[in-house]
Amino acid sequence: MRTKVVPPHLGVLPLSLALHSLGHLSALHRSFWHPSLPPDTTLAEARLDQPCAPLPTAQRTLGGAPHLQRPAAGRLERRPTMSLLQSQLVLAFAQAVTELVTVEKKNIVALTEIARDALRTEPQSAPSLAALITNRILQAPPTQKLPVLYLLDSISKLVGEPYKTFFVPALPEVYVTAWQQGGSGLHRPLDKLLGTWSGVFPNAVLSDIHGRIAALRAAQAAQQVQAAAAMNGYGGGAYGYGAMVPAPMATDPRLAPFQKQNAAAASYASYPAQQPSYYQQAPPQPALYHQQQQQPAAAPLQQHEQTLQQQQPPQVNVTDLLASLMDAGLLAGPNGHPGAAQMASGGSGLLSTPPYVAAGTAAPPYAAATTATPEREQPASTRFATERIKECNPSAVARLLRQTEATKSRFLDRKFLRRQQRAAGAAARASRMWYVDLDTWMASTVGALPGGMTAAGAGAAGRGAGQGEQQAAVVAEPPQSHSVPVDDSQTHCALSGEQFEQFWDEEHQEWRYRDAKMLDSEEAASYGLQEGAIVLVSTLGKPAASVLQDMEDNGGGAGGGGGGVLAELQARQEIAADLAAAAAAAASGGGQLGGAADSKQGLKHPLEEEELHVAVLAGAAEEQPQEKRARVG
Amino acid sequence: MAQDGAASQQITLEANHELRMEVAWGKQVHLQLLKGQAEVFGTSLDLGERVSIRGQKVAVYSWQGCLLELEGDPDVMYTSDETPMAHYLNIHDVLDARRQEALKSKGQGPRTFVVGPTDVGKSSLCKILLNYAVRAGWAPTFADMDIGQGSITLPGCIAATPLEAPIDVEDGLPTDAPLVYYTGTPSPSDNPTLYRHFVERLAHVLELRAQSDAQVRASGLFVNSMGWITDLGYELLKHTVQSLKCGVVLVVGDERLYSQLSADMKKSDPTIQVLKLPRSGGVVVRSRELRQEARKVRVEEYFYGNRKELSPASQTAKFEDLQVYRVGGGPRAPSSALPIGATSVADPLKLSRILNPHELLYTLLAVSHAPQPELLLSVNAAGFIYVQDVDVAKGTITYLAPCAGPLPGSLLLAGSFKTYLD
Repeated sequence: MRTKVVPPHLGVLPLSLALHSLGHLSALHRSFWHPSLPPDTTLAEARLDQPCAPLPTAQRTLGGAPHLQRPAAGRLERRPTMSLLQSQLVLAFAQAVTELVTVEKKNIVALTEIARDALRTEPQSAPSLAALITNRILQAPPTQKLPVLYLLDSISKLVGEPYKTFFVPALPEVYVTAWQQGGSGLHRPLDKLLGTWSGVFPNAVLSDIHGRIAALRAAQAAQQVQAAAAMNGYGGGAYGYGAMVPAPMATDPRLAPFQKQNAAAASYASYPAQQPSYYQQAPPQPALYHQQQQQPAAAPLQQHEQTLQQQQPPQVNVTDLLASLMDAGLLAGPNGHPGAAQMASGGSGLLSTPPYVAAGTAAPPYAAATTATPEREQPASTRFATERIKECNPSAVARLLRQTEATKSRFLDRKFLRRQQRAAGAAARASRMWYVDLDTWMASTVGALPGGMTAAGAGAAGRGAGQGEQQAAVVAEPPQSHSVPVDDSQTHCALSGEQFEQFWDEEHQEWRYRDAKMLDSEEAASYGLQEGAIVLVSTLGKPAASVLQDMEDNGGGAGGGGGGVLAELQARQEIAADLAAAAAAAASGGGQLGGAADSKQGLKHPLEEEELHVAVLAGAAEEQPQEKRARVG
Repeated sequence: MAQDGAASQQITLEANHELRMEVAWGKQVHLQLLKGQAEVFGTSLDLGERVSIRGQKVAVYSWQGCLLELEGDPDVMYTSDETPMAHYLNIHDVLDARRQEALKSKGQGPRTFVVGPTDVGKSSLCKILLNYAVRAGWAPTFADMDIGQGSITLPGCIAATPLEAPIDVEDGLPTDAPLVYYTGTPSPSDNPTLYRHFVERLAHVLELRAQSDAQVRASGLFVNSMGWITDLGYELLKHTVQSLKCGVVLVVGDERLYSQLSADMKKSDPTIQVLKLPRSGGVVVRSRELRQEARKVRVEEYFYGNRKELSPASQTAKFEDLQVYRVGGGPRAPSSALPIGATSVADPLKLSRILNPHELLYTLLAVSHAPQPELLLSVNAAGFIYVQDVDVAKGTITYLAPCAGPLPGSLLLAGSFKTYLD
């Protein structure tokens, strides 16, 4: 296979090398791309005469191209001999990109190699080349977008930095535009393409794209008419996903040009022009990480091969050829003369040439605005690198924040319940429960894994909601009140010494002690009191014991279920608290609020509201064992 | 309403900066994340989430910068860019990679021991690393060996709890279902044998637990240690590292301890990695009084909750119905006070029943799950009661229990330190 691919390279390389003869170059390159196309000699002449002047052809086919020569013009003062070459390369590339209208592997591979070579010969034109590609995707007719997108993909994966950095800010817009304009026929290949981008581009960017596409799909499904209008009036800035656009996207001035597409041609040049100012703002990164980031240079190559099944370009031949050409004095190295040894080291050697150090190490503009995702995330190591351990590691930060985002939803239910409980405040006077015994603890703390936790948490929330009605029923039930007739000889609880609270009981037509109980002989004996002693029910409190007993009975079974008794315990406590809170709210609300519970309560004597509350609390406690049984069984 | 006196202000926190706040007990400050990303000891804040801070020293850190709204007037507030957070994160990153490896190979995840003198931010480091692990999807276990403070439950306890969700900024570590062993004293020097015994006991239970579940095993363990790092304290630290089979030892803020530990570990077990970490600049040194006050607050929080949301129950019982035991048979002469070559004859793990309830007044008793006295030192505690009053004449004892109803067991372990609750 390799022999088949080499000829394109031998054909392409002169394109970027034989810059002294542009007419020849153009002809050659045209014959390469489109053998049937006659060489456009007039265009080539015009370029030769006025390399920096706006060209009618170029302007027609590629609105942004003339502006993109600015960086080249800047260098003109210092290195006049280079300026011509730069602009020629950019223009030649522009032409080639506009002519890339079919998905042909060899063309894409060839252009990728040109982009790679450009890093060596004209590093300063890299932003322009990247901009040419993104701009072309935005402006090309729908049927011609895909080939250029594939080129972007190819360069990102095979060459990587610094192009990826330059693609990233425009990527969501570029992709969404292609998706939107290309029609449903393009959706499948585009989805496929996007699927291969994880790990290539920062996750924040990809999730942005996913979000937009999802919104677009939804909008299309819901409102066919409006979706169509949005597609046609695509330059109006009124996208269906306006609300979905994340804040950084909207506020980032560098991205503004892309939000108004019809103004893109005019304002696009400001994007590369602003790059330097951004990089000055970017915090200087330790050189160590730069080196670190460059190490896995070969990985994307393999990945690309797998994903696109594209033939890997014969990189060694290219570098050898370039090196020999340089040795022969045919080609000037950038910024001095990198030795052949460096050249031979392939892509990683290229990337460490000085102009790219800044671009490669600084976080990409988009990512800096949203997440600090490094361009190429360094995989986590299981070894403590003591020499670097104090330095900020962007890869680690990116990983942490990405993981946080991924696990966030699983903690929300829990958090919500806790907040709700907290909001109920003093009304939910629960008590701390006894800690469980060892067997239960062991059973409950394994199996309650984060993975299953989501379900458990959601289940708890669902139960909480579902039980709302049940709870209301509990509230509405006539409370089984603990009260005894007032006994003037006993005004205080025999156990706790607290004073009893009196209330008028309609049913018995007498004054009674609230929450009090007269002990029978057996009970009294167990507390060391005389028969007939009156105590507060809260000092006896049987329900808690039954909960505990129940827990012990079911401890083993719960572990087998794997639901996590720990989570259940908490859920139960939360439910009990919610229940109490609901009861308290209902009681204080009196008859003002609607609902079955309230309508019944409204009839009750105000004095009884407190009792009701207490009874519900007790009921909540008694409810728990049943709850437990239902869930375990 | 409360905002009349408490001015609200917006604070922009730059990337990799930390906002440090100290809010006294009884004061309250509200914090809200308006924009960006921020975390409090590794617990990430949600956008728009409003957290109240009272009686806490809090550090809000941002990896990417954020905008915060602050209501109220903290006693101290400043921002700093000199934080060891990058250092901490790099450690997490390595631990995380090891967990993944452990999960793949069904092996043991990293067990990390955090050690250092008092007031260097050991607990904060534990919290941060625990939270990062949780955020990465793990369920790490936290074991607190610092019996002087008791971040999971009361002082005087060795305790462990699994962590399934990030630590709540307001509520702190989850306190619902810890595994607790009560030594009865905030200082391990009172009975180092008992301390060792419970450490081994806890290590055994955690080992069994790890063996029964691959995810738990891979998630690993974080161990917070006490701040006593010299002499016997140092020996106890080493014992804990060995008992819990810790593979990583993080030494915070003490060069001498670091060199001492790394030399010793190299001898005893070269696979143990000892790393040193700087103390955070935000750490506040607590006075002895403040520590005592903090202990009392922990006891109050156990019974009444962080926000006084819990209702404990005061109950009276006949003292003879409760079987209260003390470990070690009273105060023992330190071995240094004995003649050379002589050892104390008293068994430090001997259980003796307390017959005079008066010595229990204002102390905390642990209610044990043990079915018989012989198992008191092997079985975990179900909770605590606080002795409010003793009536020797009637033979009754009035105590504060966390909840109403009979105690979950009639066997209790006595504590030796007194707390004066209002």
